[in-house]
Amino acid sequence: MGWLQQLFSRRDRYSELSESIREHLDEKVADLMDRGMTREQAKHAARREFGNVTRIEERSREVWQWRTLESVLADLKLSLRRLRKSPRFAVTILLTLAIGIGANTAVFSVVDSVLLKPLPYPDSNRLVSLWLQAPGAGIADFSEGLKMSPSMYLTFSGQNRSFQSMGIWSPRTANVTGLAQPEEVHTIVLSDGVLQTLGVPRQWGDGFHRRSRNLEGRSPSFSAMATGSGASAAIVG
Amino acid sequence: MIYDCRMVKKSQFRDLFPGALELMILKSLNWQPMHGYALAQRLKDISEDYLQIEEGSLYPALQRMLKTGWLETEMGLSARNRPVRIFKLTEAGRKHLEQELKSVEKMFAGVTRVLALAGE
Repeated sequence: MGWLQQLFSRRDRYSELSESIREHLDEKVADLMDRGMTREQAKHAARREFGNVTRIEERSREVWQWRTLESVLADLKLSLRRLRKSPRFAVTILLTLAIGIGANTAVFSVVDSVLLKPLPYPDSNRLVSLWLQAPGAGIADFSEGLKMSPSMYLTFSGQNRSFQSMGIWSPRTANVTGLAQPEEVHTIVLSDGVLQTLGVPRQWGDGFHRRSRNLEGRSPSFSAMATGSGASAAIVG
Repeated sequence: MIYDCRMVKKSQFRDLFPGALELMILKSLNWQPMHGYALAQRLKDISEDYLQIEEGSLYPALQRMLKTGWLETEMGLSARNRPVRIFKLTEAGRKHLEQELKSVEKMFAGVTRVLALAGE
């Protein structure tokens, strides 16, 4: 605990240091007066030969200090005192900081959920989405890629060598009636391969059959639906 | 070490090597415990005009040595019978002085030898 002792005994050190320097100057003044100087002359000469007393005392004190830490603390104290003196400025600063930090947090949480967080599927880093591009095909507007047709999909999945599984989907809406209130829900029509690719198990239904590989089919085993009004789980099957 | 450049041409005096002031202080105080002013006078007297030691520059050095534990202070009386703080060596200070003297003597001998023979 030497440093703690040092911290507490520092005040004594400082006063001892000031005393030493004062004694030094007194002795010197007395010596110089013995040599025939007046008190004023002697004081002046003693100080000149000693050097800048304040500066030297400061440098001697620094020996006992943690310089970086203490100058940071002193700066902090000064800025807090200044802020307290001008509350309007302080409020402006605090608001600026608060808004800055808040905006940053908001942007980061969006970036995190959209870009950084992995999708909630197993091996999500191996999921890719495919787009069709046909430069030079002479089609006027394909800025968002070419539209996928069922035959294209069937060709791609039939020729697929690169991917474990492949599937396509398309958003739709549907009406649910006969329960409580009729409700329009968002549905997705999807093909064989989507659930396997995402690693989502079927909840019910008997899955896809080769012969029912028909994208326009509407049987329950084809479509997944999630209600817009808060159903706890998507119905998948 | 601080030089007063207004009065002393730089080429006439050069910086001491690091630790030189401490070494001279240790050696002086080993001879006899002294207060600050007496130490400054002593260094000035024996160094004659070879070294320019500003009196004030002793104090940071003295504080460093107090902190390291080479020195300690006690109250005493000056030549004028005034109460003053006397600096004296601790056991650690004495040991350090011995080591430093040896290594400095070796260094000086080496430098002198090289300077003497290098031109031949």
